[in-house]
Amino acid sequence: MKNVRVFFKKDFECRYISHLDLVRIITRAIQRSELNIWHTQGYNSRIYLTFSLPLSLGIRSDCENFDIRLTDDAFDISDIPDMLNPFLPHGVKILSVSLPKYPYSQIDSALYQFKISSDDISNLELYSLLSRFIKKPEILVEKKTKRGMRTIDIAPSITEIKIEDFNDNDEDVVFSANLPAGSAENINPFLLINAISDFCNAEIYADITRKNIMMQGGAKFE
Amino acid sequence: MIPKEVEKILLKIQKPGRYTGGELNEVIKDKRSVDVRFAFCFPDTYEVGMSHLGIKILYSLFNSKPYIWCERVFAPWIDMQKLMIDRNIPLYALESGDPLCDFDFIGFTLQYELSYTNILSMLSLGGIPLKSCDRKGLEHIVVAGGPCVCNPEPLAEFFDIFFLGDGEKVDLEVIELYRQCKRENTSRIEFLRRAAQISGVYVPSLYDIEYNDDLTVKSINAKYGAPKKIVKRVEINMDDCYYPQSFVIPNIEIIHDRAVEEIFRGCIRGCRFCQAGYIYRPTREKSVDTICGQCRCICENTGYDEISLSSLSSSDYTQIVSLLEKLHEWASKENVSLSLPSMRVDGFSDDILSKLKSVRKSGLTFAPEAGSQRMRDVINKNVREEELISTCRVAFEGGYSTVKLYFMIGLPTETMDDVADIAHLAQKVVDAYYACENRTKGRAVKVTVSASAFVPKPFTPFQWFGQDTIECMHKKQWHINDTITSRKINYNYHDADTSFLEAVFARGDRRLSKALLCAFERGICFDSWDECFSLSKWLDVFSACDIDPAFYANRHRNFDEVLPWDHLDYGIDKEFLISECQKAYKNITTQNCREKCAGCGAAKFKGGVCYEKR
Ligand code: SF4
Repeated sequence: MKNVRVFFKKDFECRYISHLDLVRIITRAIQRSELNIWHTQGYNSRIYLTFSLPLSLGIRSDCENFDIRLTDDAFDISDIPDMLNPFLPHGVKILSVSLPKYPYSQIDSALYQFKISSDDISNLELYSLLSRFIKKPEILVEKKTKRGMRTIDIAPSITEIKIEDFNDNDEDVVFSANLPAGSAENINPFLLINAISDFCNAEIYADITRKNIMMQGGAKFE
Repeated sequence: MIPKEVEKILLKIQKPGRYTGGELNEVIKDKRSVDVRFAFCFPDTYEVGMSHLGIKILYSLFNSKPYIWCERVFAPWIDMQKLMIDRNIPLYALESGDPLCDFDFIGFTLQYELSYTNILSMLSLGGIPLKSCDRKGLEHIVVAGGPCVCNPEPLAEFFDIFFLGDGEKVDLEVIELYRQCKRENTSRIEFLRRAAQISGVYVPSLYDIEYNDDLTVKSINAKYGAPKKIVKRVEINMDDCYYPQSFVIPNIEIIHDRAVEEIFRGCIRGCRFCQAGYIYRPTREKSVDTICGQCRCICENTGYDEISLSSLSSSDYTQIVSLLEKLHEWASKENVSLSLPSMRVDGFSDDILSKLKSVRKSGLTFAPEAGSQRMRDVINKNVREEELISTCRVAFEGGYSTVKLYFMIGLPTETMDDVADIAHLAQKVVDAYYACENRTKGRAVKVTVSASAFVPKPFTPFQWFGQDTIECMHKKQWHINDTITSRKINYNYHDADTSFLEAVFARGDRRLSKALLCAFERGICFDSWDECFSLSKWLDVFSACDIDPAFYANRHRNFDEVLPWDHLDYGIDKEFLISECQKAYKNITTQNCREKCAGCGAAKFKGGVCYEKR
């Protein structure tokens, strides 16, 4: 038996698939492939499949991953992408496979790229407003918690916020930011978009991609 | 592909995965490389439409032709519809993201009357003129197939072409004619007139309807050389009939997410209330080898681990035992589970039952349809009480403790005593449980009784029968409720209001198109969804249009009345239906096709059960 970490991309139409449906799709692909997967014991035996960090609906990702457990220790895991990809929709694509290096509990943050635009203001305006926004010492947002809605300040949690150069008004405004992710603290990228939307007083459309999952200290989660 | 404007709204609505396409096995072609673009529209949600077998067959069939690109379109749910209208986003096909108005053919499947308003809202959202007379040029040919085409008159003004019967060949013939007409640059009218010459094609604009003073139909007159009677198409040899090798695999959960294999078309039984039992005659089977081969192929190509065998009354398949044995051998090796959703449980060995998923999982389901034996004779439903009780007994001994019973109320000649017998029959099932020595001790029996309101349908022996009024249905529903005494019986009844509307449209004529249009303009849609349906809104529509819905639903018709669908020929002789109706009123049953041919007329299609050796 060995555990394998499978990295995949979630993109195109498939970014609108909920986490639950994604689990179904991947389970089905695994069953269809000839992979020998260890099944959980007990009454409701399922294949062993766990996900590190569920992605919100509508967000793309270059760095999603799940762990599976193979029954055969000698199996050449580099075959796995070609075994699974034919059975997945084109928006879900297995990129690479490796042996898990770190446990999920080490996950600390995720790096997102945002492409934003608005029908209410020009991209140039948006760009200049955003440049002011990221300098704000305090970013207050409404967050759902176990004890109901609460206003919190997410400014201290956001690191490495960076706007890309902007030269053409036809282009979306692009920026990236590192947000807390994992079991301790989690900030949904849409919270940040809502804050920007409030700040600009305009409806913002955001095309968001999760670029990387990181551990404390900034090392890449593998 | 998702249009840019749609991306902006997808996170504002429920279940965005309905509107994106991008599933495994969806067919993407280069639109410049095809001659004909066909938008296959299902007038209900993605989850309902994607579960439907007909769309899977035709989608694959059309796309197997290099010159056709067939795409899928479903009805957007209310939340999406509203945003699309607000933002001027046209209804688009899932594969290309292109609006409906970019298509040559816009094809609907008519599965149930309560989806008609959705057709209008889909056309309108797609930027297609609603009425066929307002559509010009050789584009936007709006067509339909499916069971409701056997009386499409309420929709006649909106459609250019209806396909009668099996669609596998006639659709392609019409598409071929369209290519030719496009090459010749003919007019739309010319194309439609030529199409009407193809067998199975009904072009409603080529028929004039005259009415009598009492509002009944006086005559139906064909013009421009269109045939007087349009005969349905039949795929007589099911082994040669096209069947897909793979299905589009949805990304989101749908109603039936599994492989489906059709094992035969038609039904030998001749239950007199059942339209499907008549319009799909004669019964035609696929061979065991064909079925096994197709099951294997589909499961391999889709990865489904569940396959459902589809047909009416599946246990009537002549080789059912050897089919199940053969399939089971393969299925257990491949870890595939089998289900037979429409199976009569009687007459099967436990051994076979245990191989079927449906039976294992959902408990026992019976559809006696009526409570008293007399009533079952009237409707020609060949289930005897003793059989039902003895099958239950065997099941109870085998550990079952839940039974579902399906009934109809409002059947012809039905009395309050017949209705009370529904409750009595359920009670007998309860009693049978407690009389059973070997039942699972310590567990209570649960019998669920469902009663739906009968809707008389065209091409059945009850096509002349006036539906019970809603008040009368309610009385009957209460009477069942009052007659049930046991707490072990769980009673639920279906809304009589929707059945009333269904009855209006099922046997309606062309004058109802006005009501449909009016309903659409008032925003009525998704009538088959409880949360959307409102009878009072519909009654307002009818009165605004000066239409008496009872004329269509509740009026008894005479045998000599011209029926709105008299020009459509499904192979069933009217004289046969009349004699069946008369027999019904005398409580006389008719044997099924395998026991004895009743001479319905379907033998003219030259195959199937009519030519089996008895
Ligand atoms: S002709 Fe006879 S055997 Fe054929 S469908 Fe009709 S009743 Fe059945």
